[in-house]
Amino acid sequence: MKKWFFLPLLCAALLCGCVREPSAQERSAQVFAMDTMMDITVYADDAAAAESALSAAEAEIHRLDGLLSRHDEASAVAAVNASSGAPVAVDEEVLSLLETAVSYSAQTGDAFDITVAPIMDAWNFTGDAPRVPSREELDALLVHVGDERIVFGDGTVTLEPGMAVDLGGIAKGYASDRLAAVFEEQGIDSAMVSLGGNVYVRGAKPDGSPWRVAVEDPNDPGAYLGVLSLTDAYAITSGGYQRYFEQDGVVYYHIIDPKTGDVARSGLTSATVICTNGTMGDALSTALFVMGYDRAVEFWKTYETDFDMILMDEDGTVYLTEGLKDRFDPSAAEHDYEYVYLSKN
Amino acid sequence: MNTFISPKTKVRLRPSPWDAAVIAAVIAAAAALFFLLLPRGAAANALVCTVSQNGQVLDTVDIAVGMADQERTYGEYVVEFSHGNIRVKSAPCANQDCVRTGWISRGGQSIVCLPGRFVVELAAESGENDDFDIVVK
Amino acid sequence: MRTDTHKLALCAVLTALALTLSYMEGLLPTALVLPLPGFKLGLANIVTVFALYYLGAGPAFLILAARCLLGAMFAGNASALIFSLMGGFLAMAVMALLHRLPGLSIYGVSIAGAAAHNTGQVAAAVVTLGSFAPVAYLPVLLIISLFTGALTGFVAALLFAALDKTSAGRDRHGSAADPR
Repeated sequence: MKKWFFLPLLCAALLCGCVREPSAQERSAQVFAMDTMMDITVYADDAAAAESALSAAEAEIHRLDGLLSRHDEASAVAAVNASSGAPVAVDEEVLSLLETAVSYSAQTGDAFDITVAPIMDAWNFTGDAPRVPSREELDALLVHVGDERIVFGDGTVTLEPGMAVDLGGIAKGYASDRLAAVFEEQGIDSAMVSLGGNVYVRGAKPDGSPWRVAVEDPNDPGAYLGVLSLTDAYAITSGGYQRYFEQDGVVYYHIIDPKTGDVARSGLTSATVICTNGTMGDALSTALFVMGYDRAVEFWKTYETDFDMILMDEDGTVYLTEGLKDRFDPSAAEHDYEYVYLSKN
Repeated sequence: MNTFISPKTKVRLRPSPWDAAVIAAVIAAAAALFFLLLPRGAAANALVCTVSQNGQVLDTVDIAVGMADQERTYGEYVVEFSHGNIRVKSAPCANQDCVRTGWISRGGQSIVCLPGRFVVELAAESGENDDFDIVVK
Repeated sequence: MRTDTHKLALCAVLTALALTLSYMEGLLPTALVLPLPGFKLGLANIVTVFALYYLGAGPAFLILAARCLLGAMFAGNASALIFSLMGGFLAMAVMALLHRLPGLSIYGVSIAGAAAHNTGQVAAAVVTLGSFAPVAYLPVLLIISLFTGALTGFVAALLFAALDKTSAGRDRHGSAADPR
């Protein structure tokens, strides 16, 4: 009867070679940093690897928060802002991030500018008592806005007296890039991160399918414009609905046009960028919102790096770039919007 | 002399009354399971509200149809539940962002008070939303 | 009794047959009923039924194991293995117990086996998904198993009747022709 055992044994031996157990351990954490709430979820083959990646990611976020927060007096950025005309030594990382920010400013025709910090302070969006500054006050502060006037030395940065930088428009995007690097080091192939609504998805879901990233409806937070199917991508939205206050029946939101110092009213209600670089996505989403539809589309057609975007205007039309055609599903939308695909030609 | 092949066990090839008992048992099991699962099935779209602070879950509330309107107090926060809608009614924070967020009522929505690290989240009861994994906003 | 080699050859043929059946039922659009990858109606149980009655529980068990392992290997997918193993073995166990009961016909045994097969597969789905959600499909699947079980039983009954005739024929004419 010995022969009987060969059949299943043979099969088992063959099978060991070609079947891998696809078990994924999920670990997630909620982190409060950079003035927002962050959700990080990682998948790994074993629980220890997932835990380790998660704590490395948390540590990196807190490190960046300590480095880049304008309101933390010990931070590198606070030191730069306190310079009042004298060169301040900053480490390589902060220096290169500042330079990157300035280059986005130049590329977007100043639709994005990290030196709007004094004007943001006047509006006090993040504080207890936001207010509407007078035209005179804004004009007086606009004198100090213009990141082309930041002087970069050898390991130093110099700001004119009265100037200040705020990396709030780029820090979360940069943090998502850094998390990608942390996951790379930790050998994590599948992760999903929301840094206060800035999304980074790494790889695909553990089952191999793309991540399903819902795009919030700016007119009805809690509803969605549709769902994107993404792998290895950053999705970042700028919208007037995220942080705002109302005064005398007028809504004032936190996206400021660096040219006027006033709330950017470009006719768009949200601008979402889908790309493969978080820092770029963060800067561009703000810039596109400030630009408005015409300039944003022109920018998309001519910019050196390819990216995809979703623009929504005040009339309820949703514009999507052609690259999203087979990655966007509007069927989850609760409201009846018109969807228009944009082509480069 | 062996036959070419023959059953080791005696086989009845025609249906017997006892087969009906097997069929009845299977139907009974199906019906029992169906009715057992019915309340869960109806609640598949139900939401669970999770209240947490500093990452610690303080409370989970099933948002069921016909749930009584109520207010729940968590430290200095008051959360109001009304007809399936939830809001932070009062909070100790200076900016009152969480109070101004207003009502939430759909899975995936949340109210966050950053200064107090206080979070009210609504999620589908199954724990996972079928439509999407994450929201860009 | 025939030699082990004869029996082994028969088992190999039955394994091939079971594999073919299980491959063919993979082509059926079962995803419409139950959207679980790896789910099978259980038509390959015909072979298990036959093996159980004609060869006994031991060989039937081995054929089933070979079918599951080879099937998973051809599909290249480990979750299908869990589905076919749990479905196949639960069906096998139930039928092995019931087929000795004198009152039950091949239909009752097959239906019980089909119900057990679907239950086993739902259990596999619960294990692989880590969620009890698939249990919600079980009532529908149990009802479906009445039909697949009856079909299996019908096919097995036809097969057994046909074999009965041929072996009876062999008994009459074959004894003289048998060279041994």
